[in-house]
Amino acid sequence: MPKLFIKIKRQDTPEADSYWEDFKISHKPGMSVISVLKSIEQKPLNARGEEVAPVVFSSSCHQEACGLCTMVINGRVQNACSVKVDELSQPISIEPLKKFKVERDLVVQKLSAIKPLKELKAWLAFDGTYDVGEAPIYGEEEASRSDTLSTCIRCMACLEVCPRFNERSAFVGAMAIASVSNLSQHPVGDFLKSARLEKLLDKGGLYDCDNVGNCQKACPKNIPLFDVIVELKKDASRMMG
Amino acid sequence: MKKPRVVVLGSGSSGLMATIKFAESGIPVTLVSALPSYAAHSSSLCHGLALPQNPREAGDSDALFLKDIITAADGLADQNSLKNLTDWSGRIYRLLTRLGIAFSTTQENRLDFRPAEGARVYRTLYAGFHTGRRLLYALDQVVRSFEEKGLVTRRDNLEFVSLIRSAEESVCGLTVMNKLNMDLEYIKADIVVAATGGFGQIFLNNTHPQVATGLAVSVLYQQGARLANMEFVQSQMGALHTLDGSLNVAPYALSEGGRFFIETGGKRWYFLEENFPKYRNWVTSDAVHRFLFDKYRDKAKLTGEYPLVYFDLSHRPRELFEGRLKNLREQVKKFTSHDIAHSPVPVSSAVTSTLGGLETDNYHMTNISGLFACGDAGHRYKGAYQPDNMVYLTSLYSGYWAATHALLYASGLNRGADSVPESVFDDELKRQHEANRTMLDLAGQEKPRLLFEELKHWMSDQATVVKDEAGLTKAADKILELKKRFERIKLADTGRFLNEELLFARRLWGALELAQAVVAASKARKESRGCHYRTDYPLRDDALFLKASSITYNSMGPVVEFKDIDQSVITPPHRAYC
Repeated sequence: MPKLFIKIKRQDTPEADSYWEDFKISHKPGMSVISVLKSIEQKPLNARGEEVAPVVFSSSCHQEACGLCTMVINGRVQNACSVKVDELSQPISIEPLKKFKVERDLVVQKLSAIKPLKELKAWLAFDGTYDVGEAPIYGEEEASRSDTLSTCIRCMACLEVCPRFNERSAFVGAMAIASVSNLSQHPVGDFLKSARLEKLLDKGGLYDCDNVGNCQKACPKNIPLFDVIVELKKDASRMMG
Repeated sequence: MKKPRVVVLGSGSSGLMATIKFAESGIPVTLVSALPSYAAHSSSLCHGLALPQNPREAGDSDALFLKDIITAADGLADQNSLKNLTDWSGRIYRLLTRLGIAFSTTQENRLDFRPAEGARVYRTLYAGFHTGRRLLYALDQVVRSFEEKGLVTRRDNLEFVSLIRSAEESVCGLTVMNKLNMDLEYIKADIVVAATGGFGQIFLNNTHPQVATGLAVSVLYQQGARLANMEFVQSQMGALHTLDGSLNVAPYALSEGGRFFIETGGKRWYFLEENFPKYRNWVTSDAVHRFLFDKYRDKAKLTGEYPLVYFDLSHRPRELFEGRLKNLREQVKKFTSHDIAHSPVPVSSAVTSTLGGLETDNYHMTNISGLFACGDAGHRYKGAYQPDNMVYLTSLYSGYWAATHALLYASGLNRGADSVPESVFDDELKRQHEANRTMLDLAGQEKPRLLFEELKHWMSDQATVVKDEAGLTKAADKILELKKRFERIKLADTGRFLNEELLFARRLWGALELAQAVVAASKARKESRGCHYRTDYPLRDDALFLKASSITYNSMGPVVEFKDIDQSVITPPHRAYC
């Protein structure tokens, strides 16, 4: 049975040093990188045949809907469940995301990327669950745009590849900007829209984007993130007069 | 009590809804969850929302909607509760529009009502392929606004460990484990709402998130909360299998005119259209399973890799594949390499819903005072089969009302968690520390992950689409064997940091207990109804079994009884899908 050669960058605790570990896995048709990691879980032996603690990783849906299994595979940031090993050159290298704090092995702390959603007030003005009425139906164009933006699964690939998203910068990142943009076209006449735009023009917002465009290339759902940001910058210029 | 301490367990759509209701009532909530909200089960659902207000369906009405759902539930519906739920569909629809969910429209930009299983009328709305994710994110956003106001404290990365009860047996708190450093802590609470979802992962092929093993429900059951209707395990014939799991794209695909067929002698046999002329491809999936088993008498043909059934959308207009079918097409291509625009896809059976759960009364309270349940963690509203266009309604309605009823309950409380001696909490913490220590020290030969695979195989073989006495008895014995072998496990990781093996072992134990309940209830229900099909009792028996099963934990084995349900609205209809 053919074998796959895997190298995984491991780390035992947040403070510990990272190290690489080699594995040899039996190949099965249709295997994804998740299948590889699950195979190690079932039989946690490294390439030298030594018993090791299984590689720890985050995953949930295994159909690229939950955004949890994002990692760097052969140097590219991808969701492990959607990557077939047959498309990868060997040895296959698997590393955690670099922009987020490693907790253990391939698990990183991603909640820091959700925080900007609070700062940007990424929610609609809401009177409560009382039955106050129905919102107007979206127009076709807004509905289509909203549909595209709503395919975001919060995998944070866009943040991983963005040169401006890091510990030293306050930049909120493409994911938060796209999320806010999605809200701002709600036909109900969203009363927080200008408050959000104001925040976006503040430190860490739109103008911290350097127009590099890596986000759009990395997005597994093909959301036109860069185009959205450019559009918002135009809106902002208009607003400022 | 004016300001009870509230903990909501589980931050999926139902838990988020309950949280919103508490917060807008001015009651602070601690929202405890193992995973962040955006990873909850709803993020992968393509189901639609039922709304019986299609102007093009002159015959549709709230009454017909209720009748269809009770029929789909094969009569096993607590009718009054279900009527209250179905009456709320308009309200839930209106709420979702205000939360920014754009339902698909016609060319005149009016709501486009589509078909769904279990009904002859078109009464289902979709917000594109990702309706579930949009709904989830919308609720998540509202909760975030309440976090900003200080009314909600989110605690992610916590695994539920146990419930703490006062001397009077009512809820006064819970213990949780921090997944990172395995620290245990207790949280005091007067109200706990269990919104932890279903337990599909105890079966082999299923569409549930990895954590959906029902751990919290299992622990609560072992601590004395009764379960109900555990024998009803719903499968969908229309799932796509990958090595890592199953995708359920059937709800959305069926709404856009998909057709099921079987290839026989080089010809396509549209077996549903032929045998169910009234409902055609929209018969409930349990009827599909039953038809196929009755014809082929071979379980493996339904659940195995053998491609028997195909699903076809390739006859649909090309524009749809650039529009409404684009996301579905990309998803199928990414995970199975099939292109639905050009060819049919082979499908087979996967568990999509577990209809059993914590037994609750009309006020969403379990038999433990102060412990409420909503969404898939509870049994209510689902009956013997739940059409896919009901899932969001059940989740949101029950979340809202569990919170409302919990506040009513709290208003009657004179004393709360604060008056319970500190020793009660400390003792429980100590007990759980010891339990963790014991598990880390186990030094046998068995591997938990392999034991779980055995359990899943057995449960899928004997307790899903087709059951009989002999198979269930063997499954019951197997589970007992697995429980004994569990005592001889060794964890592959005994560290104290993000120890997934310890978490997994605890989930395995939870799964074994729930599996016992499923098998015991399946044995006790000697009839067939909805997704519970017994070849030795193939007919529905209303005289004996028009009742919900009620399962009580006992160390000698689950104790099953049957309880009456409300039948006050209509005579429970029999299925007439042909």
